[in-house]
Amino acid sequence: MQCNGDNRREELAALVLGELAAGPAAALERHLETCATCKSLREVLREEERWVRSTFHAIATNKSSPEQERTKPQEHRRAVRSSYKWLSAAAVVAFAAILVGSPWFTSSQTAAFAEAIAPLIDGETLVCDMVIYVPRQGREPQTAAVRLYIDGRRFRVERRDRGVGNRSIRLADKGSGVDFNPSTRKFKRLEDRPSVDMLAPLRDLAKAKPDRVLGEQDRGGRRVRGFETTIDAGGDRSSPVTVWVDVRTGKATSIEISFSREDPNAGPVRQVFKNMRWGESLDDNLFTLPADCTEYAPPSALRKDEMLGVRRLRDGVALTLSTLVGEDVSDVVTSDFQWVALRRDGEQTILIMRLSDTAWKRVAHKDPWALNLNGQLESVYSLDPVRKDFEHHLLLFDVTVVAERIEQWLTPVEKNVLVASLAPAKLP
Amino acid sequence: MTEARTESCVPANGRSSGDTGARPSREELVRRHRSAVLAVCLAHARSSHDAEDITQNVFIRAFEKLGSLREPAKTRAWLLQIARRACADHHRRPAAPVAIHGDIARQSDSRDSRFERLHAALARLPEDYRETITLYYLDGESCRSVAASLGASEAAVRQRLCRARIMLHEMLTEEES
Repeated sequence: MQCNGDNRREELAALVLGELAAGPAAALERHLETCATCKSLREVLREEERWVRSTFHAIATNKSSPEQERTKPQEHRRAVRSSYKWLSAAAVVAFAAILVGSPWFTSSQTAAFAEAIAPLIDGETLVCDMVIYVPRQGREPQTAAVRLYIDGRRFRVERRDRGVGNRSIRLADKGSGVDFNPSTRKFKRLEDRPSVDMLAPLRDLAKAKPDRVLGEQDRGGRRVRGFETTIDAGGDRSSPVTVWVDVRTGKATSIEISFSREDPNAGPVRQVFKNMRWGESLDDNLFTLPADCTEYAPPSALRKDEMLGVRRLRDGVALTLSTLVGEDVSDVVTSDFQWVALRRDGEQTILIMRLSDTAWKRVAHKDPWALNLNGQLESVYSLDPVRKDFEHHLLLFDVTVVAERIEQWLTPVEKNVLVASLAPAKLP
Repeated sequence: MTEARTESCVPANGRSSGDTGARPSREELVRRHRSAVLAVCLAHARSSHDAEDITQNVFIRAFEKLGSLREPAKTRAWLLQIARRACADHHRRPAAPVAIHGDIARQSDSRDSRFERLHAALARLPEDYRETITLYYLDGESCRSVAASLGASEAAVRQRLCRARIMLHEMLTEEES
């Protein structure tokens, strides 16, 4: 096809930005197969796009430019990112880590980030499982697992809550995303764009490079080589990361990240990405909502004093909260609560838990007793109680910073829910 | 634990309001709209450093005027308007004397040459293209979101964005050569 490229420039820009509709995009892709001029321009735009995005991202996060950061020692990098909250960083690191492809390790240990993620940005697919282990004092670790599908731009996160028994699916595509419940056929739009801007965290991995080579071993029938590195986790923290790479294919097969917690008695949280399969053909249906599903319509507004929501389970109740620290994290807690309540007192919101006698005996005299809100497998949110009421077996937590999501927590509770109207004065 | 508390995202009225309900708290303003305000400031400021400074000032002004916000549903439009005015005010002021801040400026320029290279190219775009492209990249990379922020149609934003992106490419290429 005769083409000087000029008439396709805007279309090419739209393609590179991911803003071209499927039909025109397919037509343009066909054209690119035969037009060297346009193909060359697309490559230039793609390369430039990485630079533009990472520069904007650096401006947005008030960091030094990525080029500068790559040359800085790690201590300096931590300082630069000190404004990052650990919780956000944990989520960031999680998604960043799973998306790291082999070029990071195989081509050059100092390979630029943009080069490292190029296969993903260019659409290389990844399917993997992720498991998170949260140690708990005197109890079995809390674990949860998700299956991730990524096609470079779009994400599907399948989650099954063992306690709650629900299966939920998150679909994200650039600036938008939904949480979808296959059982109810309902979906809910994600409001916080940062949570669905899944490629943004990738840029944070630009600075990482292997610190140590672990040598080769056989794992799951594959010959793999291990690498250790650390990733900035905000503040003065860094998280050790171990990556196992298939010697034959040069692709990462598993990634393990360890997050330390402020509580010196709490063990590190481990996040393991495994069974990583790269470059598979993924059905488009994985990333699209089924046609027969409908948007979740929250029930009518809660009454002012309806601040108690409990989802009853066989072994307790489930509580979902979300944090406000940058990522849209829905957290689930299952425990031996008899009930859970939220009390607002001016600007302060207090979460009150009434524990069973057995549970109280087990935890009452342990300090600190942390409430671990196990994030949507992206992060862990931990709180110490502000007060213990020994007479009534109550633990009180200051959850003011997560209070904003209370209504979002309450409204999805559709079945087996006890919503009680409690006047604040009646609460301790 | 302390990370979350020091975040101080404490809604003044204890509930989420966003752009639809009650008047937002200060923390909500910053959390929800900082990216968009920075984007507009970046589109109009002399440098990315100025944009950050102006962004701070915009929120200070907004906090002062929060009581006069009558339509919380239009919070973003209100903030962006404050941002545009703040940028205009900033332009009216004389630039900082180079003799005093020269060393700092030079160091800063060196450190952030990449930012400034991008900013210089952006500065040559038509005004409405500038806002479109900065909002797109800084506030979620979504045409729908940019359209909502600018009160324009999504199709118009997409067209502007693609044109702006090509122009940006030309300017970066031109500058490189």
